[in-house]
Amino acid sequence: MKLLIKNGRVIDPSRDFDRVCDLLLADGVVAASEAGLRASEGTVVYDATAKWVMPGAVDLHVHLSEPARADRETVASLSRAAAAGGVTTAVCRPCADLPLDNITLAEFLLSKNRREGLVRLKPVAALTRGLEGETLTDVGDLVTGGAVALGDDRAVMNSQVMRRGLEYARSFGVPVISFPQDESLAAGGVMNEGFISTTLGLKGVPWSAEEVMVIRDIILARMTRWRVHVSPVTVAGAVELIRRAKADGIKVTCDTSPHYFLLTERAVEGYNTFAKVSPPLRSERDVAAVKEALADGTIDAVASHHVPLSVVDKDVEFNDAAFGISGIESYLALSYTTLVSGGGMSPRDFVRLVSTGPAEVFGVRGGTLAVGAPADVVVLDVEKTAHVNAATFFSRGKNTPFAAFEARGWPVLTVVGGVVVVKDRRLAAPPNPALAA
Amino acid sequence: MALQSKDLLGIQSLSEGELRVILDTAANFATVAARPVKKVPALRGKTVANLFYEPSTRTRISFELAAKRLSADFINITAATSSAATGETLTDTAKTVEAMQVDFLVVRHSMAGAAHQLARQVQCSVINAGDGPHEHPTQTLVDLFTIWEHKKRFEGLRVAILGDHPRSPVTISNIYGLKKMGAEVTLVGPSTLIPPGIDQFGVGVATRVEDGIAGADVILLSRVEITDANRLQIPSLREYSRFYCLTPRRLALAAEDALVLHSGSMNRGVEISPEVADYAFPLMVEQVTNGIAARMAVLYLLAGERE
Repeated sequence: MKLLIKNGRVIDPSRDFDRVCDLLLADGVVAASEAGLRASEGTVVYDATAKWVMPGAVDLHVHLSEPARADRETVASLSRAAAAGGVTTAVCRPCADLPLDNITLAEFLLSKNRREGLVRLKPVAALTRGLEGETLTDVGDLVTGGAVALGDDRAVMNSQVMRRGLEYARSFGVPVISFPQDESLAAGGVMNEGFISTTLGLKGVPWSAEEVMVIRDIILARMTRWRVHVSPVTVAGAVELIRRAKADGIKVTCDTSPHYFLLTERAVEGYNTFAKVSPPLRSERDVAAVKEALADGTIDAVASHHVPLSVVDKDVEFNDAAFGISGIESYLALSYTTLVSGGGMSPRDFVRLVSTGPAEVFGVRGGTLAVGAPADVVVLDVEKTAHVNAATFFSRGKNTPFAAFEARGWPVLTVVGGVVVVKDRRLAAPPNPALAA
Repeated sequence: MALQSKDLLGIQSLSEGELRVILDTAANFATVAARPVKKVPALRGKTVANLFYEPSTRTRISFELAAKRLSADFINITAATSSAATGETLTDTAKTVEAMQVDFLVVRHSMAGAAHQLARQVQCSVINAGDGPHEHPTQTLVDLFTIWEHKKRFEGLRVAILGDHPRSPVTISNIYGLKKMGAEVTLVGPSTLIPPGIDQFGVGVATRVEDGIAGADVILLSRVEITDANRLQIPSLREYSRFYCLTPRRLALAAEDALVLHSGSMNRGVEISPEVADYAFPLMVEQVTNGIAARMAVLYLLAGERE
C-alpha cells in the first residue's frame, strides 16, 4: 500500500530537514520526501496542508499490567492509546504487575502485541530479578529476545549491583536506566518535600533523594564507561549534574515528562491523587530548570511516563493512592503547548525531543523520515486546540491531572510501518500487519 | 453570623474573624454547661455522625456530648482503618453515609486529607476531627479558647510549641490559629523534628529548649513516643527527656504566669516532668470541659446560614 501525505511541513531532525513538501510511504518505508510528488494508481492521499509531518513519537516510558490485573492497561488498550497519542513506538518498562525479568514475559509482551497491537512495542527488561535489586537477570537472554534497555523502574540501591549491571549490559550493548530516587531518603514520601508538604501534612520526598542517585550513577557510568539513562529527571540539581557530566564526556542521557515541566507540587493541594506521581511533582524552580534543560539539549527525550491506573487505585486516601499519571494520549499536545507555543522551541528541537532523541537513546528504529526508514509517521495538527479529556482516552487509565487543560497540537494521523493506525481518532482494527515483520 | 464554608476541615482556611466568632460562641456555650440543665434545642432534628477510622476516645466523646447537648441525634460509625482496607473508594463511602441523611459528618482518620476528600463528595457538613499529622482544628479551637479564658489576649503573646511536630496532630493547626490571632510562635525541638519549610509559616525555631521557652506566656505540649516512624528523628526517649522535657527548672525560664497546655495523654517523664504534669493537670481537665463548648460552637455555627 502507498500513502502520499501532501503539502505538510515535513520536520525531520535526523536530516536537519524542515520544509513544506510531500512524503510518500510505500511498502512500509519512507519512499520519498520532496515537493510535487504525484499519486500513482492506488495511492491513498492525505492532505496535510498547514500541519506538521514528523517521525512518530518514540515514547520511552509506558507501563501496562497484563496479565496481572484485569482492570488495568492491556497490550491492546495501551496500543490504541499510543496510536491516538501519536506514538509509533512505545517502550514498556517493568513494574510489579509485569516485571519483565525473564524471557517468557518479554516474549509474551511481544507476541501479544503482534496479535493485538497497532504500534511498535519494545520491552525494557528488568536489571535485577523480581525488581529486588539483588541479582542480575539473564540480560543476554532478554536483549537477544528484544529488550532495548535494562532497568527496574526503581532505584537499584546496592551500588555494586548497579556497577556489575552496567558492566554486564555493556557487553550486550544496551543502556541501563537509572530511576533517580534513593529509596531510603524517599521512604514513605508521597509528594515533594517542603512547605507545601508540611501544610498538607504529607510526607515528602526531598530533592536530595534524586541528586544522590544521579551523582552515584554518573560516577558508575564513568567507572564502567557505559551508558546510564536517567529517567525521569525532575529536580534542578540533577539537571545540572547531568549537564556537567555530559560536558565531561560521560555516557549519560536522560528524559523527563510533561508533568515535570508543566505542573508543580501545588497541583497536589486539595489532596488531588491524580497529581500523585513518582518521582513527585517538584517546585517552580525545578520546573524552570527542567524547561531550560529541554531547551539546551541537556535532556535527550520527553516521554509520557504513562502509568494507567483504575479508579480504586486513586479514589482513596492520598497516602494510599497509587503513584502515576495516564499520559500517553496527551503528552505530545502538552509538550507542544508548553515547549513550542509557550516556549518558542524550534520545530526541529521539538521533534528531536519526542522522536529522534528517544530513538537514539535506546537504539530503536524510528525517529527519522530518511528514505528507507520505517514508515512511522505522525501528522500533528498544530492549529487544533482541545481540552484534555480523560473520558475520551482509549487508555484504561483515566488518571490525568490535566483534565480541562487546554492544549494545542494534537495528532490527527498516525502511521506505523506504512499502515494507518488512527486517523481523526478512528482506529484501525488490530493486528497491524507491519508488526509481524 | 455563620462561617464561610459548609465544612470545618482546618484552621488554615478560617479567617481571624471566624475564629473570634467561634471563640465567642464557645464562651456562650461554656455558660450553658454550668447550668443544671445543660441541653439547648439548637440542633433538634439534626443528625451528627462520627466516622472514625482510628480510635480517639477523647475526641469521639467530646463530639458526642457536644451534639447531644445541642439536642441533635447522634450516631457512631466505626470504619475500617482506611478506604483501601475495605476496597471501597472514598466516593462510595461518602455517598453511603450521605444516604443516611446525616447533617454533620465528624471524620477522624490517620491519614492527611481524608476529611477533605470526603467533604468534596457530600452535601452535609464535614468536620475534621484530626487527619493524622495534618490538622486537628477543634483541638486548636479548644487551646485557643483556654488561652483566651486565661490571658484575654493573643496579640504579642509568646507561645512555645514542643513535641514530635511531624507526627503531632495539632502543631500545624496551632501554628495557623495562633498566628492568625496575632501570637508569636516558636517551635521547639531537635532539627529532625522541625517540619520542612517551617520558615514560610512565619514561626521561630529553637533547637535548645531553654531558648524556646525563655519568656513564653504559653507552652503547648503534645505526647512524644518512639515508633518506627520517628526512630531516626529521636535517638531515645531518655535523650529527648534530657534535652526537651519540660521540668520545673526550665518552666522557671518562662513568664511567671505561663500556661502549660497538653493536648493529649501525657507521657510523664518524657515531654513533661511529673512535677510540671501535676501543675498542668487542672488545666488539662479544664480543656476537656472547654472541648465540649468549642465543639458545640462549631456544630452550631456550621448549622447556621451560609454567608
